[in-house]
Amino acid sequence: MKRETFVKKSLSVVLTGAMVLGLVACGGGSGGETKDDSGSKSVALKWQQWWAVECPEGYVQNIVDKYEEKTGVKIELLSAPFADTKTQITSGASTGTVADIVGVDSSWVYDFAKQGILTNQSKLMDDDGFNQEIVDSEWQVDSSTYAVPVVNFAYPMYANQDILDKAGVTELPNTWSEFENACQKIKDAGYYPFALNLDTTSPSGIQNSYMGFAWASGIKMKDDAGNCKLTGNEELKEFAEFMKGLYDKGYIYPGMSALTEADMSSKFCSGEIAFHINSAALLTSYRKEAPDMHITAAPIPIKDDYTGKRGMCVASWALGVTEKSENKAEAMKFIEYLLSGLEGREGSICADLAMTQSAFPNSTLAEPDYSNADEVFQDIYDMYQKGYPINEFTGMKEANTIMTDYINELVPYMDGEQDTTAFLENVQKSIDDIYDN
Amino acid sequence: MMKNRSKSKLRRKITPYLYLSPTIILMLVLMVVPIYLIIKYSFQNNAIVVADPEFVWLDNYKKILSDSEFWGAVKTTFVFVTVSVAAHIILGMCFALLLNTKYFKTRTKTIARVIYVLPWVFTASVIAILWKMMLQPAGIVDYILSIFNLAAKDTEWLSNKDVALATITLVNIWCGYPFYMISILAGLQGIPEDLYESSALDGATKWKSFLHIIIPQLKPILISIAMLDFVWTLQSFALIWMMTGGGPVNSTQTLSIYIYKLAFNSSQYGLASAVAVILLLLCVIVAIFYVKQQKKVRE
Amino acid sequence: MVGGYKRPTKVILSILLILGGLFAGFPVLWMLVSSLKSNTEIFSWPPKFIDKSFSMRSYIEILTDSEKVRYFLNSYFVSACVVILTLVIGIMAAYAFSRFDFPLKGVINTIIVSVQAVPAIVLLIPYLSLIVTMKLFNTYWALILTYLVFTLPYCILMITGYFNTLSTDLDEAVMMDGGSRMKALWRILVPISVPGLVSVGMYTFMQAWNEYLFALALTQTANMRTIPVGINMLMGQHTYDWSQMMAMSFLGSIPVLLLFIFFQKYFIAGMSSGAIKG
Repeated sequence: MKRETFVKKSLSVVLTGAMVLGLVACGGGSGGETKDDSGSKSVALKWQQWWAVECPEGYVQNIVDKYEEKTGVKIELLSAPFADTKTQITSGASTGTVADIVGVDSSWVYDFAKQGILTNQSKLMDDDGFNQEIVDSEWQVDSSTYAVPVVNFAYPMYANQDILDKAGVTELPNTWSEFENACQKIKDAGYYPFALNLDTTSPSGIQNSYMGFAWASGIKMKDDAGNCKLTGNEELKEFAEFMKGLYDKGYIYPGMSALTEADMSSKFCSGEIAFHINSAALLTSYRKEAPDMHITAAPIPIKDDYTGKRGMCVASWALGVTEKSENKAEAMKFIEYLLSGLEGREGSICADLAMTQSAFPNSTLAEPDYSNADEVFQDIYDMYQKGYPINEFTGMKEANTIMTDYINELVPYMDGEQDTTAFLENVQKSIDDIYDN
Repeated sequence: MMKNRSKSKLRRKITPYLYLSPTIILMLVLMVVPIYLIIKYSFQNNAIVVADPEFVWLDNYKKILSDSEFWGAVKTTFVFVTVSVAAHIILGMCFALLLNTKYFKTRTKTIARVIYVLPWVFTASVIAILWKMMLQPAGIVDYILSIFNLAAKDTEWLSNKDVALATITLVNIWCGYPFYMISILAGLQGIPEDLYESSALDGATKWKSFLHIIIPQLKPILISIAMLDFVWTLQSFALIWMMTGGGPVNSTQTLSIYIYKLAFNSSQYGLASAVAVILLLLCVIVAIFYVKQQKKVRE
Repeated sequence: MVGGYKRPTKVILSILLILGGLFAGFPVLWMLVSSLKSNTEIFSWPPKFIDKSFSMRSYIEILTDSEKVRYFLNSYFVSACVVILTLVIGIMAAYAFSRFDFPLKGVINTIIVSVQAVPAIVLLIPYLSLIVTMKLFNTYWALILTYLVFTLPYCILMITGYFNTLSTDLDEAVMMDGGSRMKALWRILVPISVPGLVSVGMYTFMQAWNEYLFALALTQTANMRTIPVGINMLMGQHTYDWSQMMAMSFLGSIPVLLLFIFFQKYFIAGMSSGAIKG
């Protein structure tokens, strides 16, 4: 009796499984066929990226569909979360399944170039006569280009004006001491003044938030020749002490060493944090998540006696062509199309992408029309134009390891477990170790 | 006659292998081959990164064994694994016995079983994100604890390097015990009723019947799951990576995090493989003990 | 017997049961609560169970997105195949381990146990190249075979354990009557071991249902992706869609829970003890 019911029930489970199985298998079969049809005749490219997830639904698909209409080249989008894209590209390259075009982050480009995952794009661009003057920046390793940014994202400081009003901060702080004063008022009003995201799952906080703050005052970790010089770097030392001061006075949001960029954004939207540095791309989602909040773009405070131009941290969405690709020229053509259209003369695609993502185009042909854009974004654009873009980590060897090591020395320094000199020396040492290896 | 007997003898010899053949084929192709490759990488410099890597004998192992970060990771892993496994057994056993008592109505137990099994059904990255959300400063955990005055509003569970390891271990305990609970619960059903009854007639106390009936009956299952849990926890990655990324200041950097960073942040695939082989050797030793133990149980 | 308990014991046990339930269930309750909030409210202080942002938005968005529904179907299909294959292959192997003594037994057992020790993250690249060589990349088979070899060791070990607790008299009796070994296995041993098999099957299903790393690496196109990949897709470069992530995990857990509810009577006391006696 019992056994019979069991058999019956098992059977029904198996049958349900089989039904689902048939259903799905049919779908899978038809999907594969169409792929073969188009693949056999014309060129089909694969594009591994995380942009489609970030952009409005269907936006990136629309770009490649239009490209296919115009050129007959089909581009298949392969999407993976940003956090896993590097792993995907690395493992794909070693097994030959990597896409033709890949989205690249500034912290990967050196390693990808050295490992032969990305192909030399300078050569490809020379071969098809692409006018490289229209491109603002290219990512180079050993003076050859391995990835070309399509759009750049600035990292301004966002301020929650509602908190500032409640705390009686009437003017946006412009210098370090004004910033400290503002922080004190905000703290007294019961809010958290500033957030620093130093989680090491994705260690970019040291670049965007920490060094981004320093770069505004022209404080750099590299010397003019481009070599890292942290040991004995008086300016960097002064900056570290300023940051430690903020931390010691309790101005920094608690739990910084487990705070990710995503945590920080959500915390800002929930109205707990007054200031934080984050990508301009987030403005759209801030407007969506916190429609009632009065957000302003604050200039990143500078050292009291600094008078020079302000550096502003940038990150980019860049593209590279893989060494494994059998259609390198076609792949390069698509990247050029994004920057300068089919004829190489207009940058509307780049401009439109920039506008959708609150970014800045990397093509001089692109003339995005920001007049209808968010006011805050226009402020950011203003600051971006008055200052200069900078990111010293771009193209560094094992940039992720360097950033992680930097954080792992910064946190004990903030906790008072080592002094400023030792902190900077230790970071220098781990960078040297990586380059010597 | 003679022929027939030797034939059946041969058949008897072959039979177990026939039953095992699908397993053996699958394991050989899909596990042994990749593992062979990993062992090969562990003797190479720049494995995977370059087309023809140089064979460097034991250089990778020497480098790993002289790296202080490795030994830090070993220590962290040891704490994480032993505490997790021990807590899993205890908690799993307690909950299974609780759900097996006669004190509750069947319906109560049915509902309780479903609730108790909940932590088991989620993927590791979701567990990590859920707990990270709950444990954030000024999150729900702080809120509840602050009602009872047990913790401050912004207690740092994951960002304080003295507490982070304990926190991720707790989360790992949370999501791992139902596996024991279910297995033990299933095992308990295999204990014949009359065993309890006879012990009750003997006037044995609950504690005695637990020690002398339940534990010996469950021993084979307990040893199996504890050993498997040891092996799994040893390579637990997603949970820790998504919660802390090995931080703060490497305080939660287990061997699997260390391996990931070597392989994908530093592109040192050879070194990463060497650590993997060391882990493999460790588990082979554990497995040998386990197999010996299983033999004893049967005899 | 049932009425003979002492009152204090029941009170203590009830308190324990509730505390345990809170420990196990509260985080999941919080997941459900969060899935019904807006992303901002999830982070507000003081935390509330239900607030003004209460909506089913996340659930509607997931269930009306054909790509996400596809993820669910893929996960069902892959997991169902893995459970069936693992149980069949595992039962046969367990039978060999439990009822025979043969040379190499210890060695094979050791290998089966220890292959699991290799961290998945290292295994990824060599395994991926193997799947590519076998021309299985971006197919269901890639996932099914992977989860099969991942869950098989556990399955074999546990079922061997359950078979070992059963007396060999049972199957010998069948064979005395002229039945084959296969008959002894499938007609006698397997039905008796149902509770054990259910727990093994549940575990297998869960593994296949929740695995992320290989699901991401072994498939490439949206029509082959599984739920964990879909959930991770909601983690953007700068922001997460917390609410949808929680909703999708919750939806994903429902089939597993239904399976558990469906099969849970096999965990009820006394269910199989009669069979063993007989």
